[in-house]
Amino acid sequence: MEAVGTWRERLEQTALAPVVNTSRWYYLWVAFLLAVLAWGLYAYSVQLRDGLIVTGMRDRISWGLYITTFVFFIGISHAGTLISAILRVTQAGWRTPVTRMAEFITAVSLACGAMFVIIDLGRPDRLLNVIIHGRWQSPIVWDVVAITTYLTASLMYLFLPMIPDLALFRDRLPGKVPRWKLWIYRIFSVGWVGNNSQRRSMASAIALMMLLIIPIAVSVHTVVSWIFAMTLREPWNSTIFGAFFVAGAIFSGIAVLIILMAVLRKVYHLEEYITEKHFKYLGFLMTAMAMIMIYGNLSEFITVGYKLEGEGEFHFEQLFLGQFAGFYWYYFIGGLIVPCLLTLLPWTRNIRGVVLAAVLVTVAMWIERYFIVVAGLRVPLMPYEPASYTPTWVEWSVMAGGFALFALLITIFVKVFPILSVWEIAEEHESAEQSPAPAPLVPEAVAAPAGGG
Amino acid sequence: MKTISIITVVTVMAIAIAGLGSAGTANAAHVVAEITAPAVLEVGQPSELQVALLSEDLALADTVVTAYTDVSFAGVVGQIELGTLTTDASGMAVFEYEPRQASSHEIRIEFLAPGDTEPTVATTTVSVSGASQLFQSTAGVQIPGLNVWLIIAIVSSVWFLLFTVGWRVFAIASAGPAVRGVTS
Repeated sequence: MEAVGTWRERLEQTALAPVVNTSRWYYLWVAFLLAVLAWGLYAYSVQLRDGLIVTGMRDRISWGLYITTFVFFIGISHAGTLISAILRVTQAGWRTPVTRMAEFITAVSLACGAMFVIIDLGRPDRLLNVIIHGRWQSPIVWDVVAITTYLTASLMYLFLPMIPDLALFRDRLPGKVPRWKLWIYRIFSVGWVGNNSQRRSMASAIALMMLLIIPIAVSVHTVVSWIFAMTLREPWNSTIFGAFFVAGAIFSGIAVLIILMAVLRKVYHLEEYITEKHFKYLGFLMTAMAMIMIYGNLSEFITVGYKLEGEGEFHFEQLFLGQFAGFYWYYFIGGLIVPCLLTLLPWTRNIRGVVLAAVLVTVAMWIERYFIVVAGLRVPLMPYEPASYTPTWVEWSVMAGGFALFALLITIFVKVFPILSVWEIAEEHESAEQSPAPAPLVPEAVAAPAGGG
Repeated sequence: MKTISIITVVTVMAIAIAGLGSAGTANAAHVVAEITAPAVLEVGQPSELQVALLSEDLALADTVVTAYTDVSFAGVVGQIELGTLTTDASGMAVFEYEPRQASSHEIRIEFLAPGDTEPTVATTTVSVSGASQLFQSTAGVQIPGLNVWLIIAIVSSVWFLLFTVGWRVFAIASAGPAVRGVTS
């Protein structure tokens, strides 16, 4: 059996490597993202100069790609909540190598998602009017409060378990990284040396946060759904919209996490820590959420379709047979059923199969958000011809810029902050070493971090 | 009661000009319109606007009168119609009027006097006091305690807990070595 010290040393070197070593491909990747981002900024400047007339949005379909992308980003922010908080609460030890990535996704996607609400405004200089003139009775105000709270909580939840790893970087990287990075590590490690008092404070803070962040996360996507469900629109007139949005959010969050895991595992050689087991387990979770989504879809369509009153017929027509049919059937079959098969069938239940399923789910969930926003608004409120919406180059460019920003922030985060939760992985490993017959899902005590980094 | 009398000169210029251009007598009319409103008007209090039309000191019956008032909503200013009535035998038309906004409002009436081709317009100003804006009556079921204060209380509690967590970060920092930048 390998000595714990050697194993720990190798783990630390793996965690430190992305910060210390930078390849030519990294710079090329960043340059590409910056180019896309710059193009998106140019498109946004056109929108600011000429107004929302440069978009495809008009009075009847007044939300389009921007709000679709906003809902999508808020959805994938649930990755961190699920992996870090829910699995931490349930003491699933296998989560430890992927928690940090999940928390990265949460913080970055929340910031990017909130940005798209501002982009959707024709007059962003009037943003503060929401605060100044907002009313507590408005779901828009609930949304602002919920997302602000969730972003703050997510940043804290990202930061707290990172403290011992930042201390590790502070201690191990002098002379190997620029001074500004060392300054960050010194400031944000808040003098961590791993004494008992510090461990107690951090354990209680993490315990409080993991209990707090789950209802906050659920409330955020519920409130996002109420932006739609509390509007007098037939396709949004659903009592299960909140539950549907939360399920979809966790579903898409897991999918994006799986993709990010696969990329970082490949680029930074994390094969020893992120194994096929992690992909399979997350694949199972994704499949469970897919089944909830299938159930929700069928339940809603059967109850609404059986009665088929009001504008429901028009909505079903455009979804199943009309303008959106191609994408809809991709969503239902390619985004819900096929991923279940990929993760459940033995011959595709591997890393490639799970990653492929995750890609299908991610695309499908963006499309599903588009259906909710655009197809919902397309249903006429009065007996007139339905409106049409075609996104313009400005909208596509701004959206591409938003996704580039998301990837860029993740790329920079990975380059500056610990990619792995070293102390949690070490705790889990040591616990497994001492256990005579470790089960795949070993219950663990609320982890106390290793001292000193 | 405050009575506002507006003597409207109803010498319709078009008719006069036509009369001058033609042989015969001029067909001019002289109508007095009186708009009477209560001295005290309150937002949301139903009241009456009385319009009396007199022609040559005789009541002008069977004349269609339309009343308007100015309104502003969501930054847009315009006029809404209060109603259209026909004067009775005494030349009276009584409009129901429920002010929606506190301020000074212009009441405008229009009617087509006999023999005229253009409507006659008369205006007056009324002062409305009370709440600044009358909204629709409260809808929904009022459950005691279920209001914005509950939302504020929940949000405040969550933020208090977040500050508690933040405070523990300070506790971590203060439990560490006092020397800045010290390594373990």
